[in-house]
Amino acid sequence: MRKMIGTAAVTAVLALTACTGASQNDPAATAELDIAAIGTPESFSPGNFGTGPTTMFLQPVYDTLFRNDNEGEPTENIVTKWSYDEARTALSLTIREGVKFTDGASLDAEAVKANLDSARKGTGEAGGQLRFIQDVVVKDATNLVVTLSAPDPSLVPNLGGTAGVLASPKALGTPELDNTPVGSGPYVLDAAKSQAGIKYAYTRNADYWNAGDFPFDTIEVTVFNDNNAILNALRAGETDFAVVTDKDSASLESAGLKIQSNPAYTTSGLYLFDRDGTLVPALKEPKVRQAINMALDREAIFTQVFGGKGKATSQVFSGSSDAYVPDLDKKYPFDVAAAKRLLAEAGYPNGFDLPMPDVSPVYPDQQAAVTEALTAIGVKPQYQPVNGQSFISDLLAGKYPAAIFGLNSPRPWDFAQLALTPQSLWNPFHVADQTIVDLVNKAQGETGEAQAATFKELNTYLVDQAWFAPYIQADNVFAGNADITVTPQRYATVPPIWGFTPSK
Amino acid sequence: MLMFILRRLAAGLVLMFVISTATFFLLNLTGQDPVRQVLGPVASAEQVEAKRQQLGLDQPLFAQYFEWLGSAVQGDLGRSWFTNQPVGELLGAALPPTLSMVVGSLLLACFFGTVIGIIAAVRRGALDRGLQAISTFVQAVPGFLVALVLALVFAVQLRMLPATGFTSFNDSPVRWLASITLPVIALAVGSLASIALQVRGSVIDVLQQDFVRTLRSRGLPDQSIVVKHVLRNAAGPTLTTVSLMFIVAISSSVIVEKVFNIPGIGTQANNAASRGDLPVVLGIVLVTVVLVVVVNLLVDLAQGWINPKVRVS
Repeated sequence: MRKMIGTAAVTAVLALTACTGASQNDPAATAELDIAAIGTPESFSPGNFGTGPTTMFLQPVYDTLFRNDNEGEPTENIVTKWSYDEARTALSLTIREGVKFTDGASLDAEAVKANLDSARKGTGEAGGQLRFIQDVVVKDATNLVVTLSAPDPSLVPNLGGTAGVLASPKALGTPELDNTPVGSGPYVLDAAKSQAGIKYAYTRNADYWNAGDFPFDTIEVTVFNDNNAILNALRAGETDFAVVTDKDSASLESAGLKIQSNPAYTTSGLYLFDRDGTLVPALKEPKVRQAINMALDREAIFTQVFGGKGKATSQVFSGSSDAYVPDLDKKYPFDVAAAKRLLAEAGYPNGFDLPMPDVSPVYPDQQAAVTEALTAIGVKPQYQPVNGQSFISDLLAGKYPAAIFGLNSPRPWDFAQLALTPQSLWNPFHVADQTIVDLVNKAQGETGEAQAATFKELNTYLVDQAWFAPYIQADNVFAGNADITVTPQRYATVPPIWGFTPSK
Repeated sequence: MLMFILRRLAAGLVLMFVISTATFFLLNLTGQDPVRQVLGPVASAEQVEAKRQQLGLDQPLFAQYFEWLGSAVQGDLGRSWFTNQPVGELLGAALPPTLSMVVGSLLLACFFGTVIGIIAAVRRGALDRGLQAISTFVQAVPGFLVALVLALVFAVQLRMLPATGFTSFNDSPVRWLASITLPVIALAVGSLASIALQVRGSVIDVLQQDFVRTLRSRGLPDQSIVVKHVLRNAAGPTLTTVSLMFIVAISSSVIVEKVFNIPGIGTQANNAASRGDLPVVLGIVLVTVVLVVVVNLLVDLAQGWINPKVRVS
């Protein structure tokens, strides 16, 4: 009898689950987009966002002031007309009429001002991108002027990213907004089907003004903590899209998934922070920094550590940015003998000790490659144990003269602000180089071709002075199933939500 | 009896206090700076300082501790430093998946473990040796390996069951069952083998006692002897094993949740501990202690109910 009950129970479970299994292959389900994410959104409060992969959590629920096109150029969205004054410090914006937030509040010039004022106090990268805004003045319901303390060449495109996100003024500043977005975007967060930090389900905003650009009826972004679970979800057809690691791409391709790659806009390398020689006097010598650059076998690192994805480079500026100069990558060919000569000329024939954070738990292969390169020319890395939680603070406080690291490098201007000026957060020793300061200031007032030429000049100077010892600009590898087509966007680490369309 | 329960509950409260205090100070003694972690790499020094004050981390350690304790006693476990989500709400969402898995796996393991244990003990011979060998082997196989293989075969290849995710019972009982089936089996396999071996041993011990021979000599059918008398006497050690298995299952669920991407206590514990989200870690510690205390109490009560010899006066 007991045996029979057991058998019956097992049969029942299998029968029930067979039903649900079948429904997953239902062709009617194509209007749903399932995305796998590997990180949780920092917050839903403007200004506290990042600008990387977590963008995908925001784009469904929020409109941005501008919409960047596939080339990363700003086009109209909530802003329909915009212009700068002569000095490029006053940006006039005209706002689309009649757009409402999902709580009923109007998206007018006052609402835009409230968002910009709130976001520029934010602690995330998005907030940091608004640092030049001095004041926002509302002219009438649809017109406002943003005044800047100095020209910001990236401001308009950044307002097409997470820095330009618009939340309901009624929700701004409330702790609830951190987890419950209230926006005017194409979708709303379905609280009943969502779980903070775990799963975010979006359903259509019935009143959206531009629904045609968003073909999916529902979007679900699920956070994964395990790479293997992502692979299983992709292969089982439970998720349509995920960022994957390169080593899995072949097996996913054979399982019928489409693999695409796109620059990750992160430059990995040995970051030589102590260029004034505060902790390690040798690093003040450009010849020493050049020698370190020549000791790196970038091709080997490219193929063996990064699996041949991305680009081997000696430049920090992204290969798809205006600052990139292809010939600069030939500046420091792998040459141990020449590197040793440079070190000897600089007065360090026997090398020197270089204290660095021990990142082997996270980047074992990179650290091994760098160790090999440095020891080959007599530089002795002194790895110090790292506390994962204070690592960033320690780097920023100037505790390490150099580190194996990666910084985001999408638009040249943003990278200059992040790491090149004496006040830059990621110039931890606040090294001031007049040539760099002058070139950054020059680019600030320029546009178009002239600006691109200045960035190229700046890049050439940085490589010449060996401010960094970069080796790879990595790629993001995406896997998507046959049901969807994915169009990436220049300067975006993951495709925007409107870059996803059903294949049929 | 009531005094016994009250004493156990009081001991549980002391345990909760001691463990949460230890957790609080251990996490703080590591000298980590959670504020920079919370705000990310581009926040300015002033913003970091402001956040430190907002989170109360500029206060002396003891002040922070009593602040937390005071709220916790009133049932307010605070908010996550990272997501600003109330910890109570987070635990409320994370408990159902984990409890579904843990309780489900224990039920499965108890039922099949008992059946297999009895069959092995009663039949003996080649069947017993075979079952023993299999149980020992299964016990040695790590749970995550079972989970990986189950996911690959039944979800990825055969597509019979979902490979990832959890559906709550309220949303759809059928999908709930489907979403926990593979995790439950993965969790149950190890404890099933342990329980089977335990039951087998206990039943054999009891079968050799004099009263069983007496019952047999009085002509009672074997089935009735085993079910009514032997099992009752063999249940004690088995229940102890089950309560241990419960604790093992909670810790194993961390791995199983990872493989099946199930948003339970294990996942949250892992995330919170790795980024130093103290309020969440403390909340999880409290909930886990409560679970363990309650399960141990229930097991003790069940012991007394099944076997009057161990009943407390």
